[in-house]
Amino acid sequence: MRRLGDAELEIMQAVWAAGEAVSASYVRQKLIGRRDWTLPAVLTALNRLVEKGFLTRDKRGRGNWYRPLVSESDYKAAEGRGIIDRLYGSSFTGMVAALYDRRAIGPDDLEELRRYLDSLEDS
Amino acid sequence: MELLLDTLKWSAAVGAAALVLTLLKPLLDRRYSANWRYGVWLALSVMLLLAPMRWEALLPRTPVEPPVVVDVPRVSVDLQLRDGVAVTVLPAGAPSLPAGTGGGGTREPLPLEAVLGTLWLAGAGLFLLYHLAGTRRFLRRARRWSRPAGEEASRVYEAVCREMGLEKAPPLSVSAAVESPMAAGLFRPGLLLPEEEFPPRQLVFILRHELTHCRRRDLWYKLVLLLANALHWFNPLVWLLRREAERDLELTCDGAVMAGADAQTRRAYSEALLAAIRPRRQRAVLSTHFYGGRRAMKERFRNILGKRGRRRGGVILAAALIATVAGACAFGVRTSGALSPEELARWQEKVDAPEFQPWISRMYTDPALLPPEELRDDTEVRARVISGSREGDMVTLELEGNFPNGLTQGSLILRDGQPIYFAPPFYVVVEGEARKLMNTRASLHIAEAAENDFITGALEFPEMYITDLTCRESMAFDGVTYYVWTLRYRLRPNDMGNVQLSGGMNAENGWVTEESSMGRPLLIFSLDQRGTPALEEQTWDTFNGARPMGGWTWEEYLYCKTRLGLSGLENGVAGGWPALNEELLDSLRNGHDTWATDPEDTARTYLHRAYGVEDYKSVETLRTFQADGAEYGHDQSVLLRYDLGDARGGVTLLLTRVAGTPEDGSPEIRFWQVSGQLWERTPPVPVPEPDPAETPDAAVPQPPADTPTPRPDPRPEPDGGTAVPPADPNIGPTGVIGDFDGDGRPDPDFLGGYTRVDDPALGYPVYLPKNPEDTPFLIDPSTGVPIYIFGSLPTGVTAAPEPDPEIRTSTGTIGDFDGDGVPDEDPSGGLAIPDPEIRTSTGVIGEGLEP
Repeated sequence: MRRLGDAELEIMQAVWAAGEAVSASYVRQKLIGRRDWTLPAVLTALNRLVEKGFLTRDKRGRGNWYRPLVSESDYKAAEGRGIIDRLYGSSFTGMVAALYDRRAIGPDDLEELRRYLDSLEDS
Repeated sequence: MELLLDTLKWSAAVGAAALVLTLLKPLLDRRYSANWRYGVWLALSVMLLLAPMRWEALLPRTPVEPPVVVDVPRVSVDLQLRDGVAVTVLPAGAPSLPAGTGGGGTREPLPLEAVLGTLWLAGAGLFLLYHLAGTRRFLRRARRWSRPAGEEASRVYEAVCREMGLEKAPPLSVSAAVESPMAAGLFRPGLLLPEEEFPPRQLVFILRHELTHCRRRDLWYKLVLLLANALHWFNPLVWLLRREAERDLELTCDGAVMAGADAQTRRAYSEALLAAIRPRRQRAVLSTHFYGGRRAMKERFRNILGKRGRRRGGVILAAALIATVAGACAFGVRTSGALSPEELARWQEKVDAPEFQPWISRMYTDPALLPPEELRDDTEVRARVISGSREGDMVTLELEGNFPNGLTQGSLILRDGQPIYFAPPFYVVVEGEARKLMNTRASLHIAEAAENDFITGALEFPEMYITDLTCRESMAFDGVTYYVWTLRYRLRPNDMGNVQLSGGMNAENGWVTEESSMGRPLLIFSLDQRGTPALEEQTWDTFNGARPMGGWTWEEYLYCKTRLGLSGLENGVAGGWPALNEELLDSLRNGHDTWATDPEDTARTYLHRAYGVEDYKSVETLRTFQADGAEYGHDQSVLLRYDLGDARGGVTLLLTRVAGTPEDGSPEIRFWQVSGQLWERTPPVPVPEPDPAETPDAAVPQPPADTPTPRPDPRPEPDGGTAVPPADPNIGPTGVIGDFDGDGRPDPDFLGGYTRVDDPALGYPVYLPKNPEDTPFLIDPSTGVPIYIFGSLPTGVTAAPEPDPEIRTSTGTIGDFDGDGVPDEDPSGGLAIPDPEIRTSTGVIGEGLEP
């Protein structure tokens, strides 16, 4: 799966959020505030996404309607499979202050922690 | 290499401290809170960052001029013909004597060093690249999938910010790409929440935690840890340090969030934390945490709920720990100071290595200065490391060379173990000047030969060698040391016939050696405290055993003439003012001119008479000198400085106590002379010569001129009678003393200037002049030739002798009874013809009398 640029991702997110086929003007509307594009610019970007295989285009009535071919979770998972991303994970890195260290806590740990906290609170 | 080793030492020391601290954690946690450890970890990380400590060594090297360190040979180096010198014949590619810059001679560092160094830096680089690039990529991804926080979350956020008193809060975003709440961004911090609904109460705690991180700038703290880890990527204990530090970071953050909170709040916070955990399906394979995040979480719970020590005595512990580590790091890592014996031994091994030979051999004389037959074929040049010091990455070694006749020293300067500069011993500097002098003399000979019409060939000296260059004397005044060197050399001409042998030159086995009429050349050098040599003067030793010209001691000469620059010493001892002559001695003996018996009185009298100086502000004794009276003609000297006030400045005078023996043999008389002077400003105009009748001293010396005034002859040379000096005004045209009327006999009125003395013991009359400048004489009875008498008169001669019964005539001539002025050929009365060998009453033959 190819990687989406920032702008393309935003368009896809708008499409995914809609849950149904969308028009170009709808996409443009959604992106107002974050990206102020002209309609032709949106159309160009949508065409590119079609070429990349992320969207499919149906001609309905007077305009084109666009549906996603790739689901959001699929794409998110795919994006995270880059080597660095995999190594770094989506949680703990050297230069961020996360609430907890996610890398080394498994499901069984959670139970144990629950018990531990209970014991502490009781004593 | 030093750099790497030092860094390793530091790394080990700090790592050990981290390990100790980690192991002691459980114990400490029972009593003390974790806050102090925040500072300790930071301090340790900073120490790790400072480990290389000489960051400039990593920068591209600019050529640095090392300080010129010139050492001084304490023992003379004597290149005698008979001994020869072991010297390396320098290979063609050897570095020549450096002109001063230390650029040449640096070699490539050993491969091992380079490999290790590159490896280290590469490792550090990769580490940083991994983390920083990874973070950047992660954050980019997080931001791509982010959107501003929802309404409700934003409301809660605002409330928390108000509560915490934060004016400018970082933006809050929600991102599909983060799986736990976090604070991120060094320069543009922001909070990121995962895409899920948090109950408001939970959210409050989460936000407070992250905002506390932001407020405390904990991301910068983490950066320091990261950098330290990057630099020490090879040390697992540093990884441990970082992990523990980050754990403690969370603990202290929790502590800050819960500051002053009651038990209920604390419980709620713990619950919120637990609830926020979204475990992974499986633990990450690449987790570096041996114990997993579970343990850390438990520790946090304990901390939040106050189930651990809460004392705050940690500061002292922190200080003690840091001090210990600092001490451990500094131990054995000395950036400057003297080298220990072990280090010296290590350097000695290096110095003995063959690649150091071209440098060491510079300690010895340039082989070009020695005749080939004197060079031995020893190819090994050795030097002994006697001391050394270190300054940063520069090491200076004091080496001692191995001359057969003496020792010489030099300083080898190395940077990072490679020699970059060799400071030649002072001796070689001296040698340079000696060589220059030799070349000058050779050129002079060549020029003289060229001007000589009788010499047809062109003179050349294909070989010139110094055969003796010895330091005779050294003396230090006020931090500057003066050295006196004597020099001998020989030159081989292309053809001895081309050489104009002048006075002082000798030809010896095809070589020209020379001793100038003034003796061997002397080179006087000074060496100041910085070790800068300077040639002060080139003079001659006047054949008196390497003593300075003029009869001075070296102390007097070097201090007064060389150092201070007094003029007048070139006139020699006893050449000063007042002049040493009979009048003065007479006067002193009779009790007059007693000022000359005191140095200050002499000085004052001189200043008054020569310069009209009547008064002065103050007088100061600068220095006194002693000498062996018998050897040096004087036994004391004193340097006085008279301050004449602002307008006239000051004058320094050298007063010398000389001894004069009167001609009549009475005991010697000591008096003081002004031998040298130095005016600080222009001296006052000297007064004209006073009337000789007033003062016993005939001439007042002129102010210092460029050429030294000719030395007045103090006494006649005691060598007895010699031939009649030419152009004697007392000798008339007939050759007879006092005979100006041409009758062959001394004129009567001439004899008015002389007193005739008839001593029966002598057997002949002696004529003593009334004018002390004139010379007494006698007339040879057999030839009638007047003979001057120089030196001491035979004893027994007094100015008022008794009349001699054998002198009958008014002419006063012995045996002259017929009044013709010459002794009778056959005098009656039994007067014998005087014996040419004249015997005095003591039976001693008159010295030096030649008919």
